[in-house]
Order: sequence, then C-alpha cells, then structure tokens
Amino acid sequence: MIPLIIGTALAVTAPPAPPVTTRADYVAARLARDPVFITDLAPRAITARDAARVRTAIKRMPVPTYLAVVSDTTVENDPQGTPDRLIALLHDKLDRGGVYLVVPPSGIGLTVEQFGTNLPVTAAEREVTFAEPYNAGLARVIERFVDDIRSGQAQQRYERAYAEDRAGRYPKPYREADDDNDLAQQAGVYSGMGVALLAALWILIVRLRRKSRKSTQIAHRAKSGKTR
Amino acid sequence: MRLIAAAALALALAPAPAALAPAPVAFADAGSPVSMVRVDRVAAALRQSPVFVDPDVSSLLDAHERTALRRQIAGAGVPIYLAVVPLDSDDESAGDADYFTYLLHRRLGRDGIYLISDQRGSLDWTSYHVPRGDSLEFSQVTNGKPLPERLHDVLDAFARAPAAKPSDPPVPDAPEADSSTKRPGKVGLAGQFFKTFFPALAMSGVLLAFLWAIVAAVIGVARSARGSATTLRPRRLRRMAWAELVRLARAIGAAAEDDPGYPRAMADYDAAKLLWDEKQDPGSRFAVVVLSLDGQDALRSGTADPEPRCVVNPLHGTAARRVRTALGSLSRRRQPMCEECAKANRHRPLALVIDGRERPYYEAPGLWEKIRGTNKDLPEHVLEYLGVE
Repeated sequence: MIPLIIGTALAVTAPPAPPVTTRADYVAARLARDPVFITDLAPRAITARDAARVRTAIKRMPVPTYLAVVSDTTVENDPQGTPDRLIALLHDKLDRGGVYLVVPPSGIGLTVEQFGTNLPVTAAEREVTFAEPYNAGLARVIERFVDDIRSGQAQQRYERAYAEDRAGRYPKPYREADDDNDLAQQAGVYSGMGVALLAALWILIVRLRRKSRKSTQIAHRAKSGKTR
Repeated sequence: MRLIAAAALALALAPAPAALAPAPVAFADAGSPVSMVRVDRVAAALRQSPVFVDPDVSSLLDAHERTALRRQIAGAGVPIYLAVVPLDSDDESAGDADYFTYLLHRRLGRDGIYLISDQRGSLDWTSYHVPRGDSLEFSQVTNGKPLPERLHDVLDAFARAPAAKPSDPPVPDAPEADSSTKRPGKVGLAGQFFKTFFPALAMSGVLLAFLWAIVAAVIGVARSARGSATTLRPRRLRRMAWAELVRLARAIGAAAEDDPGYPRAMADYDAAKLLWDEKQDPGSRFAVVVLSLDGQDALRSGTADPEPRCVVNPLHGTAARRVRTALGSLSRRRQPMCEECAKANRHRPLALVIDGRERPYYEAPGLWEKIRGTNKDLPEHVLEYLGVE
C-alpha cells in the first residue's frame, strides 16, 4: 500500500503524463488516412477477402463515407462504449461531413449517422437488419447497405423487409462450413448403416437360397429313391 | 493440416529463444491464415514502453496510473511487460491469454515477465527465463480491488519474489482454426463423410450381428420348445424310459388282441421290459424308450411293421423318408429321417450324457454300438443283444 501512495504522490507531483490515446483518437487518426478502419482484433471473424469486399463496397457510396469496424469490448463504464457516442466523437475529431458507419466485426448491429448529407441511411440500416440473417457477416451487411443507398429505394426495400419480418418470414441463414460438414457426416452415418444392412440382407439371401437348393436336391433324391 | 501447422510451430520453437531474439519477424505462423497484426502492434509498442494499453480499453487505466506502473516496473529489478488488451474468441489467440502471451513473447523476442490484463481486468502472466519465482497467491490477483491496485500488488510481488532458476514455460496449444469461415473442399467433405461412415458401418454390423444372434436364439428356443429334447441326462432318461414303458403297457391293455400292431407291440414290450430289468446303462435306457415308442407306433398305425423312428433323434417321431447322408460316426447310407431333419442342412443327433460326457445316442456303448443306429426290427436286435432266443 505504501509504494502505491508513494507512486500516486510521485505521479501527482510529476509533470503531467502524456495524454491517453482513446479508441476515438485512434480510430479517428486512422480514418483521416483511410475511410475504412477495420480492427485488428478479429482476424478470425474478418478474412482478408471480407476486408477487400468491404472496401470495394464503401468506394461505391455516392458521398464520403467513413466505416469503423470495432469490437464490442464490454468495458464497464467506458465513456466511449456506445456506437452513437463513438460516431459523435469521430465526427468531432475528423471534422468532415459524410456518412459515418460503426459496426462490430460480426456485422450484427450496424449504426449509422450522416453529417451534411441527405440519404435514407436509417431506412437502409433497418432494411439490412431485417433482411439479413444472423450469420450474414460483415461483408454482406455492408454490401447490402450500400446497395440500398444506391438503389434509391431504401425506404421501399425496408418496408418490404419489415412486412416479411412481421409476417414471420425470417431471412434464411447462409450455409456455413459447419452445415456442409454436418451434411457430410450425416450422409456418412446413413450410408454406413445402409451398407451394413445391404450386406446383412445379401448374406441372408445367399443362405436362404443355398438352403432351398439343398432341400430341393434332397427332395429330388428322395423321390428318385422311392421310384427305384 | 492443423497438425502440420502445430508441428511446424513446435519445430520453430525448439531452438533457444536467444537465437530468435534479434529478428522475430516471420516464422511458422506465416503459414497460418490468422493475421498477427495486433500482436505486432502490441510488440512494437512494448519496445517503446513496458506498459501498453490498447485504445479499445483505454478507460481501464488513466495516464497517471500508467505512469505509476511504468515507474514501478523500472524499479522491479526484472524485465516486466504489461499489456492491457481486449481478448475475444474472434482474435488471433481465440481469447486465450496464455496463447496471446506466447505469441507476444515470440514477436517481441525479449525475456521477462509478461503480464496480460483483458477487458474485464482478468490477469494472466508467464515468466520467460527470468531468475525470479513468479508464483502468486490466487487472492493477490482476484481480490476484488480495482485493476490499477491489483496490477500494483502483482508488480510488487514480482519485485520481491525470491531468486529462482529461470524457467522456460511450456508452449500452449494453438487454438483450433475456425472452421466456419472457410467452406470445406471435396477432400474435407470426404473426410467428414468417412469420419462417420466407418463407425456407422461397424456399429450397424455389430448391431445386426447381435440382432441375428437374438433371432437365431429365439428360433432355437422356439424349436426346442416345440420339438423334443436334444440332450438326455441319466435321471431324465430313466424317468422317460419308465414313462414310455408304462404308456406302452397301457396302450397294449387298451388294444384289442386282433389289432394288426398287437404282436409287434407285445414284442417291443417284452424286449423293453427285459432290457429295463437287466441293464441300467444310458444306451439301454434309451433303447427302452425307442422300443416303447415303436410299440406305440405299431398300435397307433395298426401295422406289424411300423416306420422306423428318425435316426437323428428318435424322439422326433417316425421317419417320413430316407435320406442318403453320413451322420456322425455312422457310415454313409440312406437313413430314415423325419420331415424336418430331411430338409435341414445340419443334423444335431440326440445326445446321451454318459459318464459326464455328451455323446450321440448311437455311439452309446453296449447295444447301440452293436446295431449302429438301426432301429428297425429293434425288438429282435435287443433280444439278440441280451442273449435271449
């Protein structure tokens, strides 16, 4: 405890410590150079191909667009915790107009805000939420968002997707590697059982035929024995 | 594939760490598809300062706390690296602090105590070739104090730790590659297929064989319940012989003397009664049974010359026809058999338990040895055997 007090005292008396780099500082600095920031925290969720698709999609936006893919770190009392706050801070720091997107690496929960432009971003964001299944992934979500904006039909698309959702018709999840593997394994189980069953049937038929042939032979012999 | 990667990693690890220290740039995980950008970023920052806090979790330690920890590390007497980073199942170490530490040490290439805190403030540390003990009390790490205080306590404990032999910690297992991002190829799918195909085949085979055995056993039991005994022990044989003899006597008593089967029945009875009185060996007892049945057959079918009994097991009944076969020790010739035995592939002759051993009845010493299974004209054979004319 004493060293802590000493340490704190030293810190208090020492010249001001270098400022702390927050998430907003870091992401804003990166966005200033490149409008797409993808966190290096989720390489297992975002492949290099996904990243390339996201960049291509953002380039197709009609207005300057900034995308920050950041992790949900669930730090308690994090003043920059919510995506809305992060967008506000990013806009403050960048001081550039355009569309700002913040999304976690999973692509679930897109947050969007626009400064100085008038695009149906909210409708597009909602359309993506209702129309894409949970396992769509980052790239599909961003691509769909950009498509909605470019189509000029974002509101109509959103209404259609929402009606589908209200009717209980939810988007079908994409096939994943696990689904393929499950299917292959199931096929293996049933084929194995089938082959075993066929083999058993074959053995049974062979035995029955041999038996019947033998008994007809015996009957034939018995008959010829009687006539003799 | 995963195995090969792990083996390559282990191989790359084998040489002394000092040799790796200068240029920890590209090694085994160059072949792994998971990006190491974050580890490189943390390692680069740790080269500048021993305390690194990821911007994503910057709220965990403020500037003053970081300065205090930096000072404390400078005075600890051993190299300590502190990294406060988010750990998550999607990251390069799949959220495993141990594996992250391992990667960080390999990228940084410096010995020391690596202390990692995740976004929840959970602490994890590994000591690489540091001549200090690094065992801490569990309560020192998880005592509910705020993270800066706990970090202070832990650093303090490292600084005061007694000297110890530098140790090389074991290499943690690499996290499993995520299978969901990459669709499997044909070979992968075939692998998945055969992973379950052969076990299913084997298990179904065993199950079917088991089922087969059960069905065969049930059929066997049903047959023996419906049919006649296949093994006779002396006690049962004795009862059976007496019972059949009595039954024949009753049948004779009930029959008219001009019945065509009457003389034969009487001959059977006389021979059986004599045999019963004279001989007690299992073969003779069984001959009493066959004689009594033969007499009953004669009365039932009203003939002086009844069909012989089934050679396989006389208890089966009278023969339906003759089948040329080699039965056990009997020579190959046309043998009388009941319908079922004539049809059957294999024959299981009735066995008598003689001196504790099961033997086919026609191999029983004495009478049967002599007549070799013939049971036609049995009364005459028996009288001859007994020496009665």
